[in-house]
Amino acid sequence: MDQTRHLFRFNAELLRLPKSKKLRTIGIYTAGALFAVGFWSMLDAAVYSKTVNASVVHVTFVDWIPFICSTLGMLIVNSIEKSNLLSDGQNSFLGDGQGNAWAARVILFFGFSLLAGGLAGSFMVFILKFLMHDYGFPTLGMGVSNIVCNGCIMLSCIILWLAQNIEDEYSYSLALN
Amino acid sequence: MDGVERNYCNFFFSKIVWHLLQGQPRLSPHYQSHIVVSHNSLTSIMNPLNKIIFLSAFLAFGFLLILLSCALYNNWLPLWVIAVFLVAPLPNIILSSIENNRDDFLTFSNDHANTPLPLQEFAKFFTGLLIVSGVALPLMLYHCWLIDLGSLVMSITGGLIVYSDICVFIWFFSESEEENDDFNF
Repeated sequence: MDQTRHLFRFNAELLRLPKSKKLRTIGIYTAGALFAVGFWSMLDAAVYSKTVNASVVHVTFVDWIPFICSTLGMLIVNSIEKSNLLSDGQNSFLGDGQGNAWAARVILFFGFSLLAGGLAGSFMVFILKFLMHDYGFPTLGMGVSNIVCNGCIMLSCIILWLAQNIEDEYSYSLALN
Repeated sequence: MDGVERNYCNFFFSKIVWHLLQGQPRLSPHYQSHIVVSHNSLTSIMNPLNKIIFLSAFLAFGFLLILLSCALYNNWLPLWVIAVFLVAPLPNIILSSIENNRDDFLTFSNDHANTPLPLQEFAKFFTGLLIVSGVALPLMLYHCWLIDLGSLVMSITGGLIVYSDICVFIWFFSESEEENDDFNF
């Protein structure tokens, strides 16, 4: 029974995360810190364009759209109950079956697309608004900070996702495997 | 012990000196080592009153730094740092009080580490966010030429002192209740 489930010879035991409560806590704090770095880099660009900006380019609402997309995506991805994703038929006697997992996967896909769309959108704003017009660096920095913002939010989301999957070292998996 | 009562309301530096002097004669003169001396004087210093005095002095120093960073340059923008760093310990304080009142009825265990509340993780996330915000706010103001370099350094230092002071305060007075090794940020 256990052999038939593996497709490859290397199983997922090698890739399992280390179990520690402290690591989990550190991961969550790090995720929050990275999110703040992203937000403040974007806010810095906005205030910079308002105060010491010597060029005609200003940070407008268009520059904030990738940030809003990324934040919404992160909110969706990390607020999904992860046990919904695993309940696919094989232990349907535990939960209420397959419709729940299907909905959870669709919403999760939506969240990840929002995250990726945010990052891609920041690149798009950077290229179309700043790079195509051959601006110098103090102006170009506003676009770079947009990319930094969305990259930090994506990294924060990844770290938060990984940290939430870390189990305590004294926990035993009750799933029948 | 009359000396204790008389020196009690004195200036607290003289109190430390007094403690250091009192720590000496308790040791046996033959096995007097520096490690034992420092340990003994440390334990006699760390009574709750001295803790409170030191922590309040550090807190006042942190506030002084932030206020100086505003007042010396006549630019009151860094004052927001105080608000950020005062709010930063709040989520964990609130969530630890929720955690203490959590109902264990019919769950057969109190292993809260395995099943943390989602709100608790959000509080940790928010704490990390607020700490970085408190550092990033003066940096942003400095980058946008709204404050000077001295103001930046003083407000960041003062804010970190205020925050770490609150954390140390919580840590000092929560370890007497239960010996938990995870410090509460």
